[in-house]
Amino acid sequence: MSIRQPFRKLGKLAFNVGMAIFSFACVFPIIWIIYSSLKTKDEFMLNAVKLPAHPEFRNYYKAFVEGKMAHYFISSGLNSVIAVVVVVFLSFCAAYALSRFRFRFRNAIYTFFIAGMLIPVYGLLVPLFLQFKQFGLYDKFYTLIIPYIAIRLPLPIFLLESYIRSVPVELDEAAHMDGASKFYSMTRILFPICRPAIATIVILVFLDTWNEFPFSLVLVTNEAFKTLPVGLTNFYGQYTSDYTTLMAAMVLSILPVLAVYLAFYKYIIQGMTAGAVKG
Amino acid sequence: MNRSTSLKISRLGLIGLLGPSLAIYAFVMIVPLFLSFYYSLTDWMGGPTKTFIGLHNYELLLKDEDFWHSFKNNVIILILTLIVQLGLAFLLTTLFVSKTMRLKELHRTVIFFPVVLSAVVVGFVWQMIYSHDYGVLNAVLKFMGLESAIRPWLDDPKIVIYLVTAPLIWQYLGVPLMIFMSAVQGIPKDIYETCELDGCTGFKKARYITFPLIYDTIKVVMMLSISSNMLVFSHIYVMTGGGPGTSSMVLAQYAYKTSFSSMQLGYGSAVTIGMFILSFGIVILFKRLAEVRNS
Amino acid sequence: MKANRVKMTGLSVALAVGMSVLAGCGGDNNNSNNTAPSNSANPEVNASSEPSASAQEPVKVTFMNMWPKDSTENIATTVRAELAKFQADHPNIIVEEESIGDQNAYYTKLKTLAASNELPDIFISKGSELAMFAKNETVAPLDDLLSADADWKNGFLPSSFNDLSSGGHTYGVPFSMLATSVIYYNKQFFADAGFSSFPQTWAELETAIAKIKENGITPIALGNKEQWVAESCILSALGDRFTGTDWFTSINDKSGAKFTDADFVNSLEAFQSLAKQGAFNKDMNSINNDQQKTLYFNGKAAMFMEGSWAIGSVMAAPKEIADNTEVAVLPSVEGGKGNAMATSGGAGSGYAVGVKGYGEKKDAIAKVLKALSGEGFAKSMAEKGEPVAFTVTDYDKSNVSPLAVKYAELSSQLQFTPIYDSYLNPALVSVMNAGLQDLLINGVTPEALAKKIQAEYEKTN
Repeated sequence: MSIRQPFRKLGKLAFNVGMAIFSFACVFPIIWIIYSSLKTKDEFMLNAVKLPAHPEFRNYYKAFVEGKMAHYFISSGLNSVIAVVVVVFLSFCAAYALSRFRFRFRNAIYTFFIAGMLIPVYGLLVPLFLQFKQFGLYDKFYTLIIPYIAIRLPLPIFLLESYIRSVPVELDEAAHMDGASKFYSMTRILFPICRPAIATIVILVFLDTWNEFPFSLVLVTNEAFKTLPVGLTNFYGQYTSDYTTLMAAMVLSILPVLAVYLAFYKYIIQGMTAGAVKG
Repeated sequence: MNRSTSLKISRLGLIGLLGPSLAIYAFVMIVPLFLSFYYSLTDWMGGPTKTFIGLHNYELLLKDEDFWHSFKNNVIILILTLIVQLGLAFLLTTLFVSKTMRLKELHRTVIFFPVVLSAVVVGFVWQMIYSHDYGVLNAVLKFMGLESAIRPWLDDPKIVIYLVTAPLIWQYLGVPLMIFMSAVQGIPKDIYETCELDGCTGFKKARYITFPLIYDTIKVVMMLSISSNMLVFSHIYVMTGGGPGTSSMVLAQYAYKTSFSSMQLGYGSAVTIGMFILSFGIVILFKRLAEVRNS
Repeated sequence: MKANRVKMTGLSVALAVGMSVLAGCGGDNNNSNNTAPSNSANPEVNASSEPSASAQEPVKVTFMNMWPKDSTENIATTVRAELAKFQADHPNIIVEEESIGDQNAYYTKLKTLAASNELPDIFISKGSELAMFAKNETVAPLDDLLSADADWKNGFLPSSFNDLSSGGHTYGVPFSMLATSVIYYNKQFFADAGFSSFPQTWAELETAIAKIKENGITPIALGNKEQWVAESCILSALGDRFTGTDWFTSINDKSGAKFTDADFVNSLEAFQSLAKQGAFNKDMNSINNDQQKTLYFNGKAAMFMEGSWAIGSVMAAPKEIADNTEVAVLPSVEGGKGNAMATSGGAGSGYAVGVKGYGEKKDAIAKVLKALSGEGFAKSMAEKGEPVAFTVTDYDKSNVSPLAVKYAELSSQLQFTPIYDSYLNPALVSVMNAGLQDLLINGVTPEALAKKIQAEYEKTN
């Protein structure tokens, strides 16, 4: 016992050091982008890894003010928030129906949704453009929200369906016996239980919508409706690239996603401590 | 599947729950998919005329080396991701449950960080890691005295596909981890406690409690992995552009290339549909395998 | 009973939301038929149209380009300045600009628009894509428009329309004249290797390369990750040295020449032998054309090959590099059929006009095109040292950089030969480009690559 103790401690230490290195590797790119964004373009071209000699915030000014990023932020933000809210609502309804009830075409509808996770977006661009043009949906302030909701639906439905299925159906039945409606058991009992899954969905949907590129490129023309990733391409010249300003823009563009992640991750964790709900 | 039949719902209720999702989803995803299928039966080159040519494009597709080569690359990426990424995510999940790990909160938060990066950033960073002159990888090899191993990594067509898989595994490690973590919470703490009283070690806990109890979640995550890896495109495009030659080209890039570089929209649509069918086939295959294990 | 009511409420909420999503689409659908509401969504347009609210409804001309709004490139600033002037003079024409800075993204959008016959009124396009649009009849032939103003038309260098014509019609108006293959070399490194001027023959070049390599310097910096550099900036010129321009004309007209012809195979062979000799940096297929310049700017490479557009960035390089930089073109090759005082070049890209808007807005489009390509524009470009497609004689040369002067001197003696990717079908170009990457790492023999290109050529015939 007395001999093994120090070894075990050493092992623990080694493990935690290894873990720290691993975690550092995960954040290094973000650190790298941040300090690179403080360099001048030439400094970066000469050595991409070195720390900046004289950190300066000119690139941020250039990206945000000269690059007029503000309206891309607003556009991306609105699209992402609306998409998250609508997707959570729609997918919860659909997943509830698919996981709790048996009905004709249940499997067909389920497969139908899941198939969406396998469709390459670039293959849809031309036909979707034609459709939007045909229906007069092209280049409107609400144009992008339509595909953003639709394309994000399969994953949440898939996740929630499996999550709700793992919740004992007796819970619903018990509520039903007590006279609660399905609406009640859906919103007041199931929804809170699904909170970790919903937090996961909020993060993923926000992230994907925030970073979405091809639809924003093709379906709108008006500068005011374009989203951030398309705005970022403006930092690419025809033949040269202004990497450091691009990085400053990237740092700015990462912030909202990080904020959403940090805000919602705690619900995933909270579920852990409040695990008693399920017991 | 012990779904109780005691829960009944009216037709109207079902329509209310499913209708809106189905409508918007069909309009944005399914209608264009069918249009795409229709284009794939024509020789459309982006002009005013399309001639119906039946399954000719699919005949070409079957013999198209680039297509199958790209598919092979997707499969390599998929298999590596399934094994390495999910294995690592599961390992980390069990470690998070254990008491050995310090600063859990920090690690958990930090491992997810790469997920928020865009493909462009990730591609760019990893290109710098592999860079011949400035790369971190070559610098490390030099430091360890392994100078003979130094090479222009992404320029070697034999290994490039494995190298471009690494960033994918690294970046999205946070997603399965997050989902596993949210599933692990569903496991009542007392099960672990009882097990510990019986003298269970970390490995046994993982093998006999965590794994079976989150098996359904693992299937979910595998499904996600298949879908995202069959569609992967931007990361690799940023790192290598599909090169050298076509050695790191994947299906999505090939579909994009045929449709958009030369506007062979008919054939490009056939590539898209072919890709969809193959992905679907893999999902079905995988479902079969998962069920075999289940029983 | 009560439970039932609540259930219904829940469903009706779900329904209501669903319906409103659908209704939202439907409702606005109706609006889109008249242009007023969609117009009000764009405050910028509104603001600029207000003062000109005269008797006439202003004509809107859409203009899609690759120059980001805040770009400081000469072409971008010149175009913007001319546009601003034009808007002041023509209150009845409103030019609506859409800029997409990334080339791939730009062409993805352009081709989606082309597939739906919704191309903008004016847009920038490369010659090869233009030929494709022309075949599909989605761009308007501009022969009449050009002929209607002889002064304008005759002001252009005659060869500048070559890249922008197909099937006997002109589809584009050129705005610049560039060489895609210029050798930028550091004369110090060549002097160290015993060469006081750039080698005049291929054999001399190979000797120079060997010597430079012995001195521990990478002879040629090559960043071919994006695959077009090896073809557009090297092979287009190198190929012509071997085959002569007649061969390419025959390829382009599909009148007999083959990629498997000995001359072309020899050019591939020569290219590969440079690589075998170790003339290029080892990571040539994983760095891009910006990074190839970085190698050169850091004094690690003796030369790089890129188009005349690189002059500006060379002037911004560290001073001792910039001062030592000279320009040249590839030397003559033994037994080659091509002119040694030539390099690949041309307009490359031009302004094209979507066929849909052309019918109704022809006059307005013509006015915009003239403002963005005519004498005023060309003069302003020339004064910044940019090679132009329009003849300008009397302009202020004081701001032109020394390297641009050297280049102007060189190019005045040069004949421009076809840039491969300006003419060949993009599918063929992509096979060629990917193949060149393989060629340079000995992944394929010159003969095999030639066969592969020829096979694709026959397929797209």
